[in-house]
Amino acid sequence: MPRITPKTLLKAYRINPLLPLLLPECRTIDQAKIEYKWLSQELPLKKKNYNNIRLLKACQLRFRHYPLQYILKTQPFGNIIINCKPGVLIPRWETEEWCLKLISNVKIINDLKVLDLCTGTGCIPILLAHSLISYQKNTNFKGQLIGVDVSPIAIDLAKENSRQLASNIDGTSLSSVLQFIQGDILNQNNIINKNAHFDIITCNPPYIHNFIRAASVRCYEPKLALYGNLIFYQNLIDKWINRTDSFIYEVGDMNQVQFLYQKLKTLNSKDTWKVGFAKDSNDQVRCVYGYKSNNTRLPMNHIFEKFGQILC
Amino acid sequence: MCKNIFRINPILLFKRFHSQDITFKPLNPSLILRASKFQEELTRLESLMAQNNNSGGGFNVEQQKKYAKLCSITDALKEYQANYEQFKELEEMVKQDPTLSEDAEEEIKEIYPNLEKSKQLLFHKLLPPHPFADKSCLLELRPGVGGTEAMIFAQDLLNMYINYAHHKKWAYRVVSETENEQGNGIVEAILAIDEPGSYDRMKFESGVHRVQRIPATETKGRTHTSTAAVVVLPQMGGEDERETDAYERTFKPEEIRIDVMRARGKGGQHVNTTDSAVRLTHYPSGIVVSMQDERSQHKNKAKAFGILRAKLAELERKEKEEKARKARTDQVTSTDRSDKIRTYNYPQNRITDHRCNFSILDMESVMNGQKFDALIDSMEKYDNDIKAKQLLNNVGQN
Ligand SMILES: C[S@@+](CC[C@H](N)C(=O)[O-])C[C@H]1O[C@@H](n2cnc3c(N)ncnc32)[C@H](O)[C@@H]1O
Repeated sequence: MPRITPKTLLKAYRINPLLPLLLPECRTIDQAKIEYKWLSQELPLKKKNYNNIRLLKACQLRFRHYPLQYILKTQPFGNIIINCKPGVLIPRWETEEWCLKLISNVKIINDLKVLDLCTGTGCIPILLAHSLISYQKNTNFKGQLIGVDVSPIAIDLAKENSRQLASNIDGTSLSSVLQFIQGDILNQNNIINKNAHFDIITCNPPYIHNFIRAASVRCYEPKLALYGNLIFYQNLIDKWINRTDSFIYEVGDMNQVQFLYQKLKTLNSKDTWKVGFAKDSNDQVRCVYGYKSNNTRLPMNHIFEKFGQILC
Repeated sequence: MCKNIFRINPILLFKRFHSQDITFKPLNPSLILRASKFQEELTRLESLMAQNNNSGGGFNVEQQKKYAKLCSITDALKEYQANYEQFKELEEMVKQDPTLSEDAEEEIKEIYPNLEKSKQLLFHKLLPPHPFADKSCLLELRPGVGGTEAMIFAQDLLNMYINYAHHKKWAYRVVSETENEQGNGIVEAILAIDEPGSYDRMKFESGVHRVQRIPATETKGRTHTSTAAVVVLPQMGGEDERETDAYERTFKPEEIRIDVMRARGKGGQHVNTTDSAVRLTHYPSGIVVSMQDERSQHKNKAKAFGILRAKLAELERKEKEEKARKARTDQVTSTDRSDKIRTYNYPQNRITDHRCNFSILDMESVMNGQKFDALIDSMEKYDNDIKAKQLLNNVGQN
């Protein structure tokens, strides 16, 4: 990354003495100005003459690479706002992107059953619930969405987020539709009722297995949410593959896609799986997905049409 | 004393009240002329059709259609003329015979709504309303020549439109705004006015606005001339989730390119950037829309699509208009010309609209929105006159 020159710093200072503090994270003066605007608009307000100090403090935190989303305590995700707090991973736009793509193909299904593993803030099932319920206003969504995470802080936050959603939409039936469970998917066995079967399992597992360059991630987001590799994809094969008709897992690289693809090809099962991968708008490999080619309740090949590229 | 005045002047008081309350602006004479030409045509057509009928030739469909159209215009004209005659008689009565004036006034009040209605009806039969007349609008502003001063002026114009919306009690939003580096002007801004019909009012703002003044930044006290450009666009749909989604899907993948502004690195869990900018490129038209104001990438994208939609609709309208004009072979009117439309001369406290040659000597009241209507009114009148004249020139081509 190019160094920020003293000239740029001075220029930023002349516009606003606080801007230079934002430059290390924002890189450009334009972006720093935008972020400053967000800070001054959205920083939770207290007493009037207090606010300048709070703004200064916020900019100082940013200078130390503290994530903006932890300062403002929110991150937009699709058309909803997810509450964020330290100890839980901030939802990423890449996840938002594939999630919206999925939603556009399942929004009419009014009995959809989804399990979201490693749910964190709960952003994935909450956005799904919000979109499906508001899209199906007249027919009344009666599917089931479950989020699982090992971290109690995450589960607490996910529940808080779902309460907020309930107050936003007519939340009478939400608690019967959306549920969060604390549990360790790698080491615990009976987190989900034995007989439950899902249409889709979604998961954004910790997938980083090398050095994280960005200090705001490395120093401030929970390691439990970041570091992992093939183990979570292996876990899908070991524990979940017989309990779902399809899956979408986020990935960090093509290796993880290949790993899962090979495992599924040699899987000893009566079902045959179609497996594919999808790239994000930044042209990075971002998801691996798969669905059974027969014996499914929903038309899976239709749901995953245009989702990405099928491997064969 | 007070009592006295009242006893002496009841009629006078009433009259004054009347003259403020009901004044009628008759329809442009050239439009009336045009309408009566239609009437003549109808008479001709009627006799032609009667002949055909007698010789057993029957009607053809084209003639039928034309007949129906001419009839409806003629009916509207008759209705309007009858109402207007009655109105004039009553007015005359008020002037001539004070003893009857009270009754006449009453009657004027009664027939006035009908008169207005028939006038509007005839007007719209002759000059169909603008295709976007009922839409709300977007105003896009950019500085032109003149450096920083142009950016300051663009900001002034933005404020003027905001003040005007405020004055009209219209809902508005600043959809995007990019300040210049010094923070005293804008590089670009889009203002949305969420009032149905505001497009019709604001449409004349499209074009280059010129300012003449001594810039605040000028040390030698010289007057500068700078410009800013305004584009007025129709808002074509709501920002409603479903609708934007459906709109996005009307494009083929090869027509549109969506860029998110974050190229470097692996992305995903590796970074938690806050840069949510989105850029849309529409290849067939070459239109590029960038949006970065929202923290939500999703919202930025929805907004960008909304603006693309407005731009495409305006483009299509202009193309259609151009074609129609070529078919009619009339001249480009000064309303359509995209060069300098207005000058804001600060030293002389004067704003001049060069299209209709209208000047107003009250910079402040225009800029704060209160007298802005005067500018639009004179443009509207001018535009209607032009259109009426064009209609006349094209007699016989319909
Ligand atoms: C990358 S975050 C994803 C959070 C959220 N789904 C999102 O997309 O923003 C991974 C999550 O997995 C959880 N996690 C890590 N190990 C786990 C395990 N063994 N069982 C269940 N959840 C686990 C972490 O607590 C963390 O919240």
